[in-house]
Amino acid sequence: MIMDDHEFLSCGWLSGPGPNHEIVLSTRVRLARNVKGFPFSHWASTGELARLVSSCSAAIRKTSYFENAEEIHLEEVNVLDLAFLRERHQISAEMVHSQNQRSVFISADQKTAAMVAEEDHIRLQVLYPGLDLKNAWSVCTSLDDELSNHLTFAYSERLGYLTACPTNVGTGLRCSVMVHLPALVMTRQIQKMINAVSQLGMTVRGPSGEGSEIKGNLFQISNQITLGVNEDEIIERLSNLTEQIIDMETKATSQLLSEAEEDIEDRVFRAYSILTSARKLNSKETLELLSPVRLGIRTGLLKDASLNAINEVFLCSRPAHLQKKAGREMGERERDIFRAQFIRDRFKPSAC
Amino acid sequence: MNGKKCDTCNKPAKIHVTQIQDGQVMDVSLCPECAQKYGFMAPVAEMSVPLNEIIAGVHTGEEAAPISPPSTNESKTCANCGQTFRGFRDSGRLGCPECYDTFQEELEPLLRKVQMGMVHHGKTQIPRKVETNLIPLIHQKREELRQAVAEENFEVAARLRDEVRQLERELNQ
Ligand SMILES: [Zn+2]
Ligand SMILES: [Zn+2]
Repeated sequence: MIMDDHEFLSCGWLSGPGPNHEIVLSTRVRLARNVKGFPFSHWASTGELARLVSSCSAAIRKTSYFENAEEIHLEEVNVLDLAFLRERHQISAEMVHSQNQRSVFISADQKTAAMVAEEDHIRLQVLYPGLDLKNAWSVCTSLDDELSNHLTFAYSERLGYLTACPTNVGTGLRCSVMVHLPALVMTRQIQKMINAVSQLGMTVRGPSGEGSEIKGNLFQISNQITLGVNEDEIIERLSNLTEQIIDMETKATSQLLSEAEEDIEDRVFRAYSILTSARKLNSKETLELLSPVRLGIRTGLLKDASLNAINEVFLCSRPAHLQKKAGREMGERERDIFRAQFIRDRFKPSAC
Repeated sequence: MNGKKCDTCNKPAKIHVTQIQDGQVMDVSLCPECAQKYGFMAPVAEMSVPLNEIIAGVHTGEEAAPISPPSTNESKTCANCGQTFRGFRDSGRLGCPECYDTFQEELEPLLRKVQMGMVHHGKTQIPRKVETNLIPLIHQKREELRQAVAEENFEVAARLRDEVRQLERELNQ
Protein backbone atom coordinates (compact mmCIF):
# COMPACT_ATOMS: atom_id res chain seq x y z
CA MET A 1 0.00 0.00 0.00
CA ILE A 2 1.37 3.35 -0.99
CA MET A 3 0.42 6.77 0.27
CA ASP A 4 2.09 9.82 -1.14
CA ASP A 5 2.85 12.87 0.90
CA HIS A 6 -0.27 14.73 -0.18
CA GLU A 7 -2.61 11.92 0.77
CA PHE A 8 -0.67 11.50 3.95
CA LEU A 9 -1.53 14.96 5.20
CA SER A 10 -4.96 15.30 3.68
CA CYS A 11 -6.87 12.92 5.84
CA GLY A 12 -10.37 13.93 4.74
CA TRP A 13 -12.10 13.13 8.00
CA LEU A 14 -9.76 15.02 10.27
CA SER A 15 -8.76 18.13 8.39
CA GLY A 16 -11.23 20.52 6.85
CA PRO A 17 -13.56 22.51 9.05
CA GLY A 18 -16.50 20.34 10.06
CA PRO A 19 -19.40 21.73 12.12
CA ASN A 20 -18.31 22.62 15.68
CA HIS A 21 -14.76 21.62 14.84
CA GLU A 22 -13.40 23.82 17.64
CA ILE A 23 -14.43 21.15 20.13
CA VAL A 24 -15.46 18.11 18.08
CA LEU A 25 -12.58 16.61 16.09
CA SER A 26 -14.46 13.91 14.28
CA THR A 27 -17.65 11.92 13.92
CA ARG A 28 -17.79 8.21 13.27
CA VAL A 29 -20.74 6.05 12.28
CA ARG A 30 -20.37 2.29 12.10
CA LEU A 31 -22.85 -0.34 10.96
CA ALA A 32 -22.47 -4.10 11.62
CA ARG A 33 -23.93 -6.57 9.14
CA ASN A 34 -23.75 -10.33 8.69
CA VAL A 35 -24.66 -12.44 5.69
CA LYS A 36 -27.53 -14.87 6.08
CA GLY A 37 -26.62 -18.56 6.00
CA PHE A 38 -23.07 -18.23 7.32
CA PRO A 39 -21.65 -18.64 10.83
CA PHE A 40 -20.14 -15.47 12.33
CA SER A 41 -16.55 -14.77 11.22
CA HIS A 42 -14.78 -16.25 14.27
CA TRP A 43 -16.85 -19.43 14.09
CA ALA A 44 -16.60 -20.03 10.34
CA SER A 45 -14.35 -22.70 8.87
CA THR A 46 -11.55 -21.66 6.53
CA GLY A 47 -13.64 -22.71 3.54
CA GLU A 48 -16.76 -20.88 4.75
CA LEU A 49 -14.73 -17.78 5.49
CA ALA A 50 -13.21 -17.83 1.99
CA ARG A 51 -16.65 -18.08 0.35
CA LEU A 52 -18.02 -15.42 2.66
CA VAL A 53 -15.16 -13.01 1.99
CA SER A 54 -15.44 -13.42 -1.77
CA SER A 55 -19.18 -12.74 -1.83
CA CYS A 56 -18.87 -9.77 0.55
CA SER A 57 -16.00 -8.30 -1.46
CA ALA A 58 -17.90 -8.73 -4.73
CA ALA A 59 -20.94 -7.00 -3.25
CA ILE A 60 -18.90 -4.14 -1.80
CA ARG A 61 -17.22 -3.59 -5.14
CA LYS A 62 -20.66 -3.19 -6.78
CA THR A 63 -21.56 -0.20 -4.60
CA SER A 64 -21.05 3.34 -5.85
CA TYR A 65 -18.75 4.15 -2.91
CA PHE A 66 -16.21 1.42 -3.56
CA GLU A 67 -16.38 0.96 -7.34
CA ASN A 68 -12.81 2.11 -7.79
CA ALA A 69 -11.57 1.52 -4.29
CA GLU A 70 -8.56 -0.59 -3.58
CA GLU A 71 -9.18 -3.72 -1.55
CA ILE A 72 -6.44 -4.07 1.03
CA HIS A 73 -5.87 -7.70 1.99
CA LEU A 74 -4.56 -7.49 5.52
CA GLU A 75 -2.53 -10.69 5.19
CA GLU A 76 -0.44 -8.95 2.55
CA VAL A 77 0.10 -5.80 4.60
CA ASN A 78 3.22 -5.29 6.71
CA VAL A 79 3.11 -4.51 10.42
CA LEU A 80 3.82 -0.82 9.91
CA ASP A 81 0.95 -0.39 7.44
CA LEU A 82 -1.39 -2.24 9.80
CA ALA A 83 -0.50 0.20 12.57
CA PHE A 84 -0.89 3.09 10.11
CA LEU A 85 -4.43 1.97 9.17
CA ARG A 86 -5.26 1.50 12.83
CA GLU A 87 -4.09 5.02 13.70
CA ARG A 88 -6.43 6.32 11.01
CA HIS A 89 -9.28 4.24 12.51
CA GLN A 90 -9.63 2.47 9.18
CA ILE A 91 -9.25 -0.97 10.65
CA SER A 92 -10.27 -2.20 14.09
CA ALA A 93 -7.92 -3.30 16.85
CA GLU A 94 -9.13 -6.84 16.28
CA MET A 95 -7.94 -6.73 12.66
CA VAL A 96 -4.46 -5.72 13.77
CA HIS A 97 -4.24 -8.84 15.91
CA SER A 98 -5.47 -11.30 13.32
CA GLN A 99 -5.41 -10.69 9.57
CA ASN A 100 -6.71 -14.11 8.54
CA GLN A 101 -8.63 -13.58 5.25
CA ARG A 102 -9.60 -10.11 6.35
CA SER A 103 -9.67 -7.11 4.10
CA VAL A 104 -10.71 -3.48 4.06
CA PHE A 105 -12.01 -1.19 1.32
CA ILE A 106 -11.25 2.51 1.70
CA SER A 107 -13.00 5.14 -0.41
CA ALA A 108 -10.96 7.65 -2.42
CA ASP A 109 -11.76 10.49 0.01
CA GLN A 110 -10.70 8.26 2.97
CA LYS A 111 -13.98 8.92 4.73
CA THR A 112 -15.73 5.64 4.08
CA ALA A 113 -14.43 2.16 4.82
CA ALA A 114 -15.83 -1.35 4.65
CA MET A 115 -14.14 -3.98 6.78
CA VAL A 116 -14.64 -7.59 5.74
CA ALA A 117 -14.57 -10.60 8.11
CA GLU A 118 -14.20 -8.42 11.17
CA GLU A 119 -16.08 -9.47 14.33
CA ASP A 120 -19.08 -9.16 12.03
CA HIS A 121 -18.96 -10.13 8.35
CA ILE A 122 -19.12 -6.53 7.21
CA ARG A 123 -18.58 -3.34 9.11
CA LEU A 124 -19.32 -0.13 7.27
CA GLN A 125 -17.74 2.97 8.66
CA VAL A 126 -18.05 6.65 7.82
CA LEU A 127 -15.70 9.20 9.40
CA TYR A 128 -16.42 12.92 9.07
CA PRO A 129 -14.67 15.97 10.44
CA GLY A 130 -16.48 17.88 13.19
CA LEU A 131 -19.92 17.03 14.56
CA ASP A 132 -21.76 15.71 11.55
CA LEU A 133 -23.70 12.62 12.64
CA LYS A 134 -26.68 13.13 10.35
CA ASN A 135 -24.61 13.37 7.18
CA ALA A 136 -22.34 10.50 8.16
CA TRP A 137 -25.40 8.36 8.88
CA SER A 138 -27.03 9.19 5.57
CA VAL A 139 -23.93 7.97 3.72
CA CYS A 140 -23.73 4.85 5.86
CA THR A 141 -27.38 3.92 5.44
CA SER A 142 -27.40 4.44 1.68
CA LEU A 143 -24.30 2.28 1.39
CA ASP A 144 -26.11 -0.35 3.48
CA ASP A 145 -29.12 -0.12 1.12
CA GLU A 146 -26.88 -0.60 -1.90
CA LEU A 147 -25.24 -3.62 -0.30
CA SER A 148 -28.58 -5.18 0.54
CA ASN A 149 -29.29 -5.31 -3.19
CA HIS A 150 -26.47 -7.82 -3.51
CA LEU A 151 -26.46 -9.62 -0.14
CA THR A 152 -29.15 -10.97 2.15
CA PHE A 153 -28.30 -10.01 5.70
CA ALA A 154 -28.98 -12.07 8.82
CA TYR A 155 -32.11 -10.38 10.14
CA SER A 156 -34.97 -11.29 12.43
CA GLU A 157 -38.30 -9.52 12.83
CA ARG A 158 -37.90 -9.62 16.59
CA LEU A 159 -34.24 -8.65 17.04
CA GLY A 160 -33.40 -6.86 13.79
CA TYR A 161 -29.89 -7.25 12.39
CA LEU A 162 -28.16 -10.20 14.04
CA THR A 163 -24.56 -9.64 15.13
CA ALA A 164 -21.80 -11.82 16.59
CA CYS A 165 -22.08 -10.00 19.89
CA PRO A 166 -25.52 -9.20 21.39
CA THR A 167 -24.29 -5.73 22.37
CA ASN A 168 -24.64 -4.75 18.69
CA VAL A 169 -27.86 -6.54 17.81
CA GLY A 170 -30.86 -4.62 16.45
CA THR A 171 -29.64 -1.64 14.51
CA GLY A 172 -25.98 -2.75 14.51
CA LEU A 173 -25.28 0.97 14.74
CA ARG A 174 -22.48 2.49 16.79
CA CYS A 175 -21.89 6.25 16.53
CA SER A 176 -19.18 8.19 18.22
CA VAL A 177 -17.74 11.66 18.44
CA MET A 178 -14.20 12.61 19.42
CA VAL A 179 -14.24 15.69 21.64
CA HIS A 180 -11.48 17.84 23.09
CA LEU A 181 -12.47 19.02 26.59
CA PRO A 182 -9.52 20.72 28.29
CA ALA A 183 -11.65 23.30 30.12
CA LEU A 184 -13.99 20.70 31.60
CA VAL A 185 -10.95 18.81 32.89
CA MET A 186 -9.29 21.92 34.31
CA THR A 187 -12.46 23.09 36.04
CA ARG A 188 -13.08 19.60 37.47
CA GLN A 189 -16.42 19.24 35.71
CA ILE A 190 -15.41 16.24 33.67
CA GLN A 191 -16.94 13.80 36.17
CA LYS A 192 -20.26 15.62 35.85
CA MET A 193 -20.08 15.20 32.10
CA ILE A 194 -19.23 11.51 32.37
CA ASN A 195 -22.09 10.90 34.80
CA ALA A 196 -24.54 12.64 32.50
CA VAL A 197 -23.30 10.60 29.57
CA SER A 198 -23.62 7.22 31.29
CA GLN A 199 -27.11 8.03 32.50
CA LEU A 200 -28.15 8.43 28.89
CA GLY A 201 -26.93 4.98 27.87
CA MET A 202 -23.75 6.32 26.29
CA THR A 203 -20.12 5.56 27.09
CA VAL A 204 -16.96 7.64 27.38
CA ARG A 205 -13.59 6.28 26.32
CA GLY A 206 -10.08 7.44 25.57
CA PRO A 207 -9.11 8.57 22.06
CA SER A 208 -8.17 5.11 20.80
CA GLY A 209 -11.40 3.40 21.70
CA GLU A 210 -12.04 0.48 23.97
CA GLY A 211 -9.75 0.26 26.97
CA SER A 212 -7.64 3.25 25.99
CA GLU A 213 -6.53 5.80 28.53
CA ILE A 214 -7.52 9.43 28.35
CA LYS A 215 -4.73 11.43 26.70
CA GLY A 216 -4.52 15.05 25.69
CA ASN A 217 -8.02 15.69 27.11
CA LEU A 218 -9.51 13.79 24.18
CA PHE A 219 -12.65 11.77 24.82
CA GLN A 220 -14.69 9.50 22.63
CA ILE A 221 -18.41 9.41 23.34
CA SER A 222 -20.58 6.72 21.82
CA ASN A 223 -23.99 5.10 22.08
CA GLN A 224 -24.16 1.81 23.93
CA ILE A 225 -27.72 0.80 23.11
CA THR A 226 -28.51 -0.72 19.71
CA LEU A 227 -31.77 -2.57 20.35
CA GLY A 228 -35.13 -0.99 21.14
CA VAL A 229 -34.30 2.38 19.60
CA ASN A 230 -34.22 3.31 15.95
CA GLU A 231 -31.26 4.76 14.09
CA ASP A 232 -32.63 8.30 13.95
CA GLU A 233 -33.13 8.31 17.72
CA ILE A 234 -29.57 7.09 18.28
CA ILE A 235 -28.20 9.82 15.99
CA GLU A 236 -30.44 12.48 17.49
CA ARG A 237 -29.60 11.60 21.10
CA LEU A 238 -25.87 11.60 20.51
CA SER A 239 -26.10 14.86 18.55
CA ASN A 240 -28.06 16.52 21.35
CA LEU A 241 -25.73 15.19 24.01
CA THR A 242 -22.69 16.39 22.09
CA GLU A 243 -24.22 19.84 21.73
CA GLN A 244 -24.75 19.94 25.49
CA ILE A 245 -21.13 18.94 26.05
CA ILE A 246 -19.98 21.65 23.64
CA ASP A 247 -22.04 24.09 25.66
CA MET A 248 -20.51 22.89 28.95
CA GLU A 249 -16.99 23.11 27.53
CA THR A 250 -17.65 26.59 26.14
CA LYS A 251 -18.95 27.82 29.50
CA ALA A 252 -16.02 26.22 31.34
CA THR A 253 -13.66 27.98 28.92
CA SER A 254 -15.21 31.37 29.64
CA GLN A 255 -14.95 30.63 33.34
CA LEU A 256 -11.26 29.79 32.97
CA LEU A 257 -10.59 32.92 30.97
CA SER A 258 -12.40 35.19 33.38
CA GLU A 259 -10.82 33.66 36.49
CA ALA A 260 -7.29 33.01 35.29
CA GLU A 261 -6.63 34.36 31.84
CA GLU A 262 -2.92 35.03 32.43
CA ASP A 263 -2.38 31.53 33.74
CA ILE A 264 -4.12 29.97 30.77
CA GLU A 265 -2.21 32.22 28.41
CA ASP A 266 1.03 31.26 30.12
CA ARG A 267 0.25 27.56 29.74
CA VAL A 268 -0.74 27.94 26.12
CA PHE A 269 2.43 29.79 25.14
CA ARG A 270 4.72 27.57 27.19
CA ALA A 271 3.26 24.52 25.48
CA TYR A 272 3.51 26.18 22.09
CA SER A 273 7.12 27.15 22.54
CA ILE A 274 8.14 23.66 23.66
CA LEU A 275 6.20 22.14 20.77
CA THR A 276 7.83 24.42 18.22
CA SER A 277 11.36 24.33 19.55
CA ALA A 278 11.90 20.91 21.14
CA ARG A 279 14.36 18.56 19.43
CA LYS A 280 12.84 15.40 20.87
CA LEU A 281 9.19 14.73 21.59
CA ASN A 282 7.52 11.49 22.60
CA SER A 283 3.88 10.61 21.77
CA LYS A 284 2.52 11.24 25.22
CA GLU A 285 4.24 14.58 25.71
CA THR A 286 3.11 15.67 22.25
CA LEU A 287 -0.54 15.00 23.10
CA GLU A 288 -0.14 16.80 26.41
CA LEU A 289 1.34 19.84 24.66
CA LEU A 290 -1.14 19.83 21.80
CA SER A 291 -4.06 20.08 24.21
CA PRO A 292 -3.28 23.57 25.63
CA VAL A 293 -2.15 24.73 22.18
CA ARG A 294 -5.47 23.67 20.73
CA LEU A 295 -7.26 25.49 23.56
CA GLY A 296 -5.13 28.55 22.83
CA ILE A 297 -6.13 28.58 19.17
CA ARG A 298 -9.78 28.00 19.96
CA THR A 299 -9.89 30.92 22.40
CA GLY A 300 -7.97 33.23 20.09
CA LEU A 301 -5.06 33.55 22.52
CA LEU A 302 -2.75 31.93 20.00
CA LYS A 303 -2.97 33.22 16.46
CA ASP A 304 0.15 31.62 14.96
CA ALA A 305 -1.38 28.24 14.24
CA SER A 306 -4.62 26.86 12.85
CA LEU A 307 -6.92 24.18 14.23
CA ASN A 308 -6.40 22.27 10.99
CA ALA A 309 -2.69 22.11 11.57
CA ILE A 310 -3.25 20.90 15.13
CA ASN A 311 -5.72 18.23 14.06
CA GLU A 312 -3.26 16.97 11.49
CA VAL A 313 -0.47 16.86 14.01
CA PHE A 314 -2.71 14.91 16.41
CA LEU A 315 -2.88 12.17 13.81
CA CYS A 316 0.38 12.47 11.90
CA SER A 317 2.66 12.57 14.92
CA ARG A 318 1.62 9.06 15.88
CA PRO A 319 4.33 6.41 15.49
CA ALA A 320 3.19 4.61 12.32
CA HIS A 321 2.35 7.87 10.55
CA LEU A 322 5.81 9.25 11.28
CA GLN A 323 7.48 6.13 9.95
CA LYS A 324 5.35 6.24 6.81
CA LYS A 325 6.36 9.86 6.35
CA ALA A 326 10.02 9.05 6.89
CA GLY A 327 9.68 6.09 4.53
CA ARG A 328 11.48 3.78 6.92
CA GLU A 329 11.10 1.99 10.20
CA MET A 330 12.43 3.92 13.18
CA GLY A 331 13.17 3.08 16.79
CA GLU A 332 11.66 5.12 19.58
CA ARG A 333 14.56 7.55 19.94
CA GLU A 334 14.79 8.21 16.23
CA ARG A 335 11.03 8.65 16.11
CA ASP A 336 11.05 11.22 18.91
CA ILE A 337 13.67 13.25 17.03
CA PHE A 338 11.78 12.93 13.75
CA ARG A 339 8.50 13.86 15.47
CA ALA A 340 9.97 17.07 16.87
CA GLN A 341 11.31 17.96 13.42
CA PHE A 342 7.97 17.20 11.78
CA ILE A 343 6.10 19.39 14.27
CA ARG A 344 8.58 22.27 13.93
CA ASP A 345 8.12 22.14 10.14
CA ARG A 346 4.36 21.97 10.43
CA PHE A 347 4.21 25.05 12.65
CA LYS A 348 6.65 27.18 10.68
CA PRO A 349 4.87 30.53 10.18
CA SER A 350 4.57 29.90 6.43
CA ALA A 351 3.19 26.37 6.83
CA CYS A 352 -0.05 27.34 8.57
CA MET B 1 6.91 12.27 35.42
CA ASN B 2 8.16 8.83 36.38
CA GLY B 3 8.22 7.97 40.07
CA LYS B 4 6.03 10.91 41.09
CA LYS B 5 3.96 10.44 44.21
CA CYS B 6 0.29 11.24 44.62
CA ASP B 7 -0.06 14.81 45.96
CA THR B 8 -2.59 13.78 48.57
CA CYS B 9 -1.70 10.28 49.76
CA ASN B 10 1.86 9.50 48.56
CA LYS B 11 0.94 6.39 46.60
CA PRO B 12 2.48 6.23 43.12
CA ALA B 13 0.79 8.85 40.93
CA LYS B 14 -0.72 7.68 37.69
CA ILE B 15 -2.70 10.71 36.65
CA HIS B 16 -1.32 14.16 36.00
CA VAL B 17 -3.91 16.83 35.68
CA THR B 18 -4.17 20.54 35.45
CA GLN B 19 -6.63 22.41 37.61
CA ILE B 20 -7.53 25.83 38.92
CA GLN B 21 -7.04 26.52 42.60
CA ASP B 22 -7.67 29.98 43.99
CA GLY B 23 -7.52 31.36 40.51
CA GLN B 24 -4.17 29.67 39.87
CA VAL B 25 -3.69 26.97 37.30
CA MET B 26 -1.74 24.13 38.87
CA ASP B 27 -0.45 20.73 37.90
CA VAL B 28 -1.51 17.93 40.19
CA SER B 29 -0.33 14.33 40.33
CA LEU B 30 -2.74 11.79 41.71
CA CYS B 31 -3.05 8.07 42.24
CA PRO B 32 -6.06 6.47 40.50
CA GLU B 33 -8.08 6.29 43.75
CA CYS B 34 -7.61 9.96 44.57
CA ALA B 35 -8.18 10.97 40.97
CA GLN B 36 -11.50 9.24 41.15
CA LYS B 37 -12.27 10.72 44.55
CA TYR B 38 -11.59 14.25 43.33
CA GLY B 39 -13.53 13.79 40.17
CA PHE B 40 -10.78 13.67 37.57
CA MET B 41 -11.63 10.24 36.32
CA ALA B 42 -14.71 8.13 36.17
CA PRO B 43 -14.59 4.82 37.95
CA VAL B 44 -13.28 2.24 35.52
CA ALA B 45 -16.64 0.48 35.38
CA GLU B 46 -18.32 3.64 34.15
CA MET B 47 -15.75 4.32 31.47
CA SER B 48 -16.70 1.20 29.64
CA VAL B 49 -18.32 -1.93 30.86
CA PRO B 50 -16.27 -4.89 29.71
CA LEU B 51 -18.48 -7.34 27.94
CA ASN B 52 -17.19 -10.27 29.96
CA GLU B 53 -18.49 -8.60 33.10
CA ILE B 54 -21.88 -8.03 31.57
CA ILE B 55 -22.06 -11.60 30.42
CA ALA B 56 -20.79 -12.86 33.77
CA GLY B 57 -23.61 -10.82 35.32
CA VAL B 58 -26.04 -12.81 33.25
CA HIS B 59 -24.65 -15.98 34.67
CA THR B 60 -24.92 -14.94 38.30
CA GLY B 61 -28.33 -13.46 37.63
CA GLU B 62 -27.29 -10.06 38.99
CA GLU B 63 -30.00 -7.51 38.32
CA ALA B 64 -31.59 -10.03 36.01
CA ALA B 65 -35.33 -10.23 35.83
CA PRO B 66 -36.41 -12.46 38.73
CA ILE B 67 -39.34 -13.86 36.77
CA SER B 68 -37.20 -16.16 34.68
CA PRO B 69 -33.89 -17.02 36.36
CA PRO B 70 -31.20 -17.55 33.75
CA SER B 71 -30.77 -21.10 32.70
CA THR B 72 -27.66 -22.74 34.02
CA ASN B 73 -27.65 -25.13 31.10
CA GLU B 74 -24.20 -24.11 29.95
CA SER B 75 -23.79 -27.02 27.61
CA LYS B 76 -26.88 -26.08 25.60
CA THR B 77 -25.73 -26.26 22.00
CA CYS B 78 -26.86 -24.53 18.80
CA ALA B 79 -27.97 -27.25 16.39
CA ASN B 80 -26.99 -25.12 13.42
CA CYS B 81 -23.41 -24.23 14.34
CA GLY B 82 -22.37 -26.18 17.45
CA GLN B 83 -21.66 -23.12 19.63
CA THR B 84 -22.52 -23.69 23.31
CA PHE B 85 -23.80 -21.16 25.82
CA ARG B 86 -20.58 -21.64 27.79
CA GLY B 87 -18.61 -20.91 24.62
CA PHE B 88 -20.58 -17.72 24.19
CA ARG B 89 -20.00 -16.72 27.81
CA ASP B 90 -16.26 -17.25 27.45
CA SER B 91 -15.78 -15.53 24.11
CA GLY B 92 -18.63 -13.02 24.16
CA ARG B 93 -19.59 -14.16 20.68
CA LEU B 94 -22.37 -16.27 19.32
CA GLY B 95 -21.62 -18.84 16.61
CA CYS B 96 -24.27 -18.03 14.03
CA PRO B 97 -27.43 -15.95 13.58
CA GLU B 98 -29.56 -18.93 14.66
CA CYS B 99 -27.88 -18.89 18.07
CA TYR B 100 -30.26 -16.03 18.90
CA ASP B 101 -33.15 -18.50 18.73
CA THR B 102 -31.27 -21.33 20.41
CA PHE B 103 -30.22 -19.19 23.37
CA GLN B 104 -33.23 -16.88 23.41
CA GLU B 105 -34.00 -17.64 27.05
CA GLU B 106 -30.36 -17.33 28.18
CA LEU B 107 -29.79 -14.10 26.26
CA GLU B 108 -32.89 -12.35 27.54
CA PRO B 109 -31.41 -11.10 30.86
CA LEU B 110 -28.33 -9.82 29.02
CA LEU B 111 -30.41 -7.95 26.47
CA ARG B 112 -32.59 -6.51 29.21
CA LYS B 113 -29.49 -5.24 30.95
CA VAL B 114 -27.52 -3.72 28.08
CA GLN B 115 -30.28 -2.80 25.65
CA MET B 116 -33.31 -0.55 25.77
CA GLY B 117 -35.89 -3.14 24.87
CA MET B 118 -36.30 -6.60 23.49
CA VAL B 119 -37.66 -5.69 20.09
CA HIS B 120 -35.97 -4.10 17.09
CA HIS B 121 -37.32 -0.66 16.16
CA GLY B 122 -34.89 0.32 13.45
CA LYS B 123 -34.35 -0.21 9.76
CA THR B 124 -35.97 -3.22 8.21
CA GLN B 125 -34.20 -5.48 5.78
CA ILE B 126 -34.80 -3.85 2.43
CA PRO B 127 -36.05 -6.45 -0.05
CA ARG B 128 -33.38 -7.32 -2.56
CA LYS B 129 -34.00 -5.64 -5.87
CA VAL B 130 -33.66 -8.97 -7.65
CA GLU B 131 -36.69 -10.12 -5.71
CA THR B 132 -38.85 -7.79 -7.71
CA ASN B 133 -37.85 -10.08 -10.58
CA LEU B 134 -38.77 -13.16 -8.58
CA ILE B 135 -42.07 -13.81 -10.28
CA PRO B 136 -40.69 -14.15 -13.83
CA LEU B 137 -37.88 -16.26 -12.37
CA ILE B 138 -40.38 -18.57 -10.68
CA HIS B 139 -42.33 -18.87 -13.95
CA GLN B 140 -39.15 -19.75 -15.77
CA LYS B 141 -38.13 -22.37 -13.19
CA ARG B 142 -41.64 -23.87 -13.26
CA GLU B 143 -41.39 -24.21 -17.03
CA GLU B 144 -37.99 -25.92 -16.69
CA LEU B 145 -39.48 -28.18 -14.03
CA ARG B 146 -42.36 -29.19 -16.31
CA GLN B 147 -39.87 -29.98 -19.03
CA ALA B 148 -37.61 -32.02 -16.70
CA VAL B 149 -40.59 -34.07 -15.53
CA ALA B 150 -41.68 -34.62 -19.13
CA GLU B 151 -38.20 -35.86 -19.95
CA GLU B 152 -38.23 -38.02 -16.83
CA ASN B 153 -35.10 -36.23 -15.67
CA PHE B 154 -36.03 -36.64 -12.02
CA GLU B 155 -32.79 -35.57 -10.46
CA VAL B 156 -32.97 -32.19 -12.16
CA ALA B 157 -36.69 -31.99 -11.44
CA ALA B 158 -36.13 -32.50 -7.73
CA ARG B 159 -33.55 -29.73 -7.64
CA LEU B 160 -35.81 -27.38 -9.59
CA ARG B 161 -38.75 -28.15 -7.33
CA ASP B 162 -36.63 -27.19 -4.29
CA GLU B 163 -35.49 -24.01 -6.00
CA VAL B 164 -39.05 -23.02 -6.83
CA ARG B 165 -40.10 -23.63 -3.22
CA GLN B 166 -37.21 -21.57 -1.95
CA LEU B 167 -38.06 -18.70 -4.33
CA GLU B 168 -41.70 -18.81 -3.27
CA ARG B 169 -40.68 -18.67 0.35
CA GLU B 170 -38.50 -15.65 -0.36
CA LEU B 171 -41.35 -14.00 -2.21
CA ASN B 172 -43.67 -14.47 0.76
CA GLN B 173 -41.20 -13.16 3.32
ZN1 LIG C 1 -3.70 9.25 46.29
ZN1 LIG D 1 -25.52 -21.08 16.14
